[in-house]
Amino acid sequence: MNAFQPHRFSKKVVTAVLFLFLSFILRSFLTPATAQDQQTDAIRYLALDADLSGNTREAGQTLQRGIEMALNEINANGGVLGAELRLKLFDHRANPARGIYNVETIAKDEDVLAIIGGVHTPVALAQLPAIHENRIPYLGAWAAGTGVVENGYSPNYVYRLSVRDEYAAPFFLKQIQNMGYKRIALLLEKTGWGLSNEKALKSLVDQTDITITGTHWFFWGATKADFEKHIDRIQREDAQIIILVANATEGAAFVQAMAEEEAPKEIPVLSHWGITAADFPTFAGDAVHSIDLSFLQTWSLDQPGAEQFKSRYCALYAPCPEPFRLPAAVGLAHSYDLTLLIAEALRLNGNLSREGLVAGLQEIRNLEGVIKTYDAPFANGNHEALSLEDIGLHRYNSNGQIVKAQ
Amino acid sequence: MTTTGDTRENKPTRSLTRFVSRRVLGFMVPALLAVFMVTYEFSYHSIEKHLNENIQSQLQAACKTLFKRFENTRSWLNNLSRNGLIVNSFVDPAGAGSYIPQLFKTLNVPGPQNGGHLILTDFKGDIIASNSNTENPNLDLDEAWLQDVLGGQSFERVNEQGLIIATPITINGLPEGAMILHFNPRTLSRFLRVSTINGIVNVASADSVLISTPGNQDSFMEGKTFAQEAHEDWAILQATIPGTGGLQLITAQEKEAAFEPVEDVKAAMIAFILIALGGMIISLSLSGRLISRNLRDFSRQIKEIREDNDLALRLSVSEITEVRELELSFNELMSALQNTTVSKDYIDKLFQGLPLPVFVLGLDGRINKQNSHAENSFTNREGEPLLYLQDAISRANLESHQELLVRDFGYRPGNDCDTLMHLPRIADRHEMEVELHQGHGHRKPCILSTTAIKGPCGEIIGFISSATDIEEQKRTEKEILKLAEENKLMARAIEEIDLGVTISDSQQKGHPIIFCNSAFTALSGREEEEILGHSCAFLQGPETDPETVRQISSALEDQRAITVEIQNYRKDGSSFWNELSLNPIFSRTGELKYYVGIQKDISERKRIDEMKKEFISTVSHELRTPLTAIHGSLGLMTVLKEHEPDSREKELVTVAYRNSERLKLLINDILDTEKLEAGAMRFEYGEHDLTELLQHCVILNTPFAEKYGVRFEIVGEIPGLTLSCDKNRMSQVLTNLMSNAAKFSRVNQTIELSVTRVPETDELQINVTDFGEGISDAFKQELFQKFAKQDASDDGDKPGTGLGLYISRKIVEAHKGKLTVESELGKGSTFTISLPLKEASARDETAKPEQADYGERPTEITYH
Repeated sequence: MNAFQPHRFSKKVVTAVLFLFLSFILRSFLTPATAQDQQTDAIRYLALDADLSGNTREAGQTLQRGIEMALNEINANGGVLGAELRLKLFDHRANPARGIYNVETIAKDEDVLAIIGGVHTPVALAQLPAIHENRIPYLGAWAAGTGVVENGYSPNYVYRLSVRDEYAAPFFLKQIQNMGYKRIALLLEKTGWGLSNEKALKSLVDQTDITITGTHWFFWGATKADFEKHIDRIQREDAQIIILVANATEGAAFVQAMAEEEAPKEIPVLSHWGITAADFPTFAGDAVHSIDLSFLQTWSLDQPGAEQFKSRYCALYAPCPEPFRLPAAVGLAHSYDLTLLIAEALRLNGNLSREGLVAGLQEIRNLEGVIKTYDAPFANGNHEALSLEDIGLHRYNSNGQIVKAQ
Repeated sequence: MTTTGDTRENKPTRSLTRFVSRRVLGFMVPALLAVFMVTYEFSYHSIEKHLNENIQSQLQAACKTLFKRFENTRSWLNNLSRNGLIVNSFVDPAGAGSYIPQLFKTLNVPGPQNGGHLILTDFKGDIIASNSNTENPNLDLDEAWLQDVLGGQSFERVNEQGLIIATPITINGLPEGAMILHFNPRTLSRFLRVSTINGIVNVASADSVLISTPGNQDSFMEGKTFAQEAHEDWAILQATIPGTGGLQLITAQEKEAAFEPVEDVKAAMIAFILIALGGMIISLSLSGRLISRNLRDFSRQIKEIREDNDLALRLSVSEITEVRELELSFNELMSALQNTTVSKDYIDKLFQGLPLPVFVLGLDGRINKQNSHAENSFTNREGEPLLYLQDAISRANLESHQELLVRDFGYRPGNDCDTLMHLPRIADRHEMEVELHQGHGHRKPCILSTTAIKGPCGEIIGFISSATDIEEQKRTEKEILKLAEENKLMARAIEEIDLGVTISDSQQKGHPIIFCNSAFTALSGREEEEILGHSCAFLQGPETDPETVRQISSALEDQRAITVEIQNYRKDGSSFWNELSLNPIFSRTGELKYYVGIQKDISERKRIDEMKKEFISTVSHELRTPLTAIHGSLGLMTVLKEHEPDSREKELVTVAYRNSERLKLLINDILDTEKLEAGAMRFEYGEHDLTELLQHCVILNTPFAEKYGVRFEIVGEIPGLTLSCDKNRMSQVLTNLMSNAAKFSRVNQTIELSVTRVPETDELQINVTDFGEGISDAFKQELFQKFAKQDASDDGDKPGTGLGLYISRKIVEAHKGKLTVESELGKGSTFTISLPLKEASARDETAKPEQADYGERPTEITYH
């Protein structure tokens, strides 16, 4: 930060810096080998703050493994600026309070350069004050709440390589228009994430001929019985399609409630991707195949070029039996690409610091990731690496694998 | 009591009331005191037990209540911690501010305590929300609780500082916060309060500090440490409330209040005992007086009887059982006394009434007493009234007895009395046969039986003599001697005859043989000793006809004579036919004494009879076959010659035909006889009208009537009866009788057929009466035997085989009837068929078809 205010430096400081610079030059000339060793021995950390033990631990795991795969490759190529990058894990258990606490804890560790955030928007939203207070870069790999990035802080330390709810709303409406439906019901969790989706959808619906028949809220831990009441109301509203914003646990309860009766099965469900953050097919059982369920997704293992990535994954972690089903697989691609972007940013900036990272992110111009080739993703004040175009409609096939919807 | 009561009478007496009172009260007072003590002890223990049970049940009830209250509170808190809003407030911290405070303001902890803090904390234990704005509870907790809660466990602590229950709040399946319930000491005290009817309930912490008491007892103050020994006036029970970390429940009840009823019981018991004793004394005195009155009455009556000296007087009977028994016993005693007095007269009368002369004699033979029988019977030798018994005895008797004494006992009596009394004196009793004078020169032979009478010390004080009349016995003896002489001759005769003679004693069971002659021993093949004393039954064997045996038994039973032919057996097993004749011998009084059996071996005759029968049978059969041919041919020739003029040839043919006709009849009769004897004749029974039957026979015999110039006439009324019989056989009988009647009637005589009914025997009698020459008495005997003919000469006018009546009788007997004849020479004869009416009608009801075909074997018929 001081670098942006040179006029405030005193002579003493300048002298000290010069002295340090000179001694550094001298030392590097005198003992070049030692200096090289020192560079190699330097270790910097990335922190993953996600739910690693709760209901979305599968997503936490794919995020962790995506980072590890990228770090392996980076470190194998000599690391970043001679330093080895390593991963530190923080489990917020989907609890915002714990998320805040984790940010506070991470921020104290100077060697941690950035936080990579997990699935939960409420946690990310709760963490915003702490992130900005501690000026630590936060790179979201999953949480899609618009408010997470559009947070009103300046400078904004939050970057994201994931879906943005704002994109989700137009995506949903575009799909609904394509399907030809006019009456939609919203079924949203009563959290910041649900609220941001409601906001986005309502603002866009006015511009179309689609009407929202009703907005239905549920709490975390909602049961099948709770959803049966919602479905009953939705049926009475005569909605043609349901937009669902839920995580896997509640999503599974909803799907089971839907599959219970004949009539609701006919209503198609368009879901946000929250349900894919866990092993949803296992959660929901056969119900997942008996209703018309599709959801948005940025990437899946049936994508072109994913095959090679899969082989690397399987080589590193476990033999992958066919049909290979990896719950929350998208997390793997997001965190992998995000880690490559972080390394690139550090490399470009040449400074192994949080500020250096922030600056470096904006300098990235062209980087090939597993999802796509990133072309100046964070330049010009842009904080979102993905855009509306990167989102597609997906389904679960009969093996429980996520595949692109036809 | 047999002892005299002299010594007792001198003892001082006391009243019955006093006596009874002393005895009864002496027992009852200690008994009542014992009852009082037992009751008092029992009620004390009972109340103590009740108190303990009461406290125990209070303790259990309170324990249950508090346990339930804790459970409910925990359950409520658990439910709250799962409340959707509360859980959501964790994942929606921004939004939570709008509803969580509102929610907490409305939360009230259930229970009687009216208060209690609810606190929501995050995973660090920092308070997020609370239902209290004013108080900031100092929970004074270390970190252990948080570890419990974040480990998914509930935390609970209760002590004098209050109660804390913390339950985890689960987000995404993980405990990430806590809901805490806190009661301060005041609230906890109210929470733990349990109301009871008796006594109080206190709660102390695990380290015995009282944390909840009713507050109105100085003995139990909150905040103080509880010690049981400091509460000796209280009944106390203590228990740990399960699942509350060792909370102690203490129920207590003041002893003094509890035992108040025991004192009441004591007072009531004392009052009761005093009343009971008073009542007892009064009732004893009353009952004593009543009994005394009755006893005095009793003794007064006895005194009256004694003064009246009348044995027939009796006490009037009281209504009191015991007194009545006493009076009845006294009355019985009086009756016994009276009876003793009366029996003396009775013995006197008995003595007089004895049926033989009895004398009571003094030592000198003087008659002190004699019954009227004796007085009227005997005199002294001179015919004067008797004073000394020895004077009634004939001089000859006395002398011979004197000789006997000298000869056998070496005793020479001094006088007649000594002669008479010596033996009774030495043997106590003696019998001798004497003749006693009866006056007018008569003497009666008697047995004089004399017994010595002994005094209390065994000395002889007199004699009793009785005289039994043996005059009749003496006479019988004489007769027997005479008979014996005669019998010797008879016995000799019996021994000599060749018929077996036995005499059996009919007065003994089984009629044992008491005499048999040598002919019988020869006949039976047994020795005399094998026969005497045994019944005749030893003669019977396997072929012996049981029917004949039955007839013999029946005759013996009826005490009548019987003669039968019976197959008997010798000792060696060989059989013989015996013609046995048994005749009863009665005494003069008509009593059956003996049966005399005469036995005759008729085996030879039997054999000849059999041979004859067989011969006739064979001959008849052999004759019949050619005869039929001859008879048929002659019959044909007679018919052919009928219209020819008389010629010698025609005459011869007629004679031949008539004789062949007779021969045929003879052979048929013989065959019938054979059949009847063999029991092989078939009878075909049927129901036949009697009138029709008779008319049929009249028509059938009309040729006979014409032949002999007689007339058959049915006289009198024929009862409209149906006869159950074989029509042909019955017709055969009637025809036989009618033809006989025709044969023996004179020309122009009428033969009458009549029917009578004998109600007494329920019989039907069919009579065939002729007025011909009649039958001699001698011939009547053999009339119904085979080949019996009045006139043996075979003249053409009165042809016959001599079998007709024999066969007729057999046929009638087969119908269970009788055929009899009554006849007088020169006046005519009446043959009567008697048939049992009942038998006739009953046969139809019982007879089965196959039996009807063959009839009945005429077993009742006796063959002669």
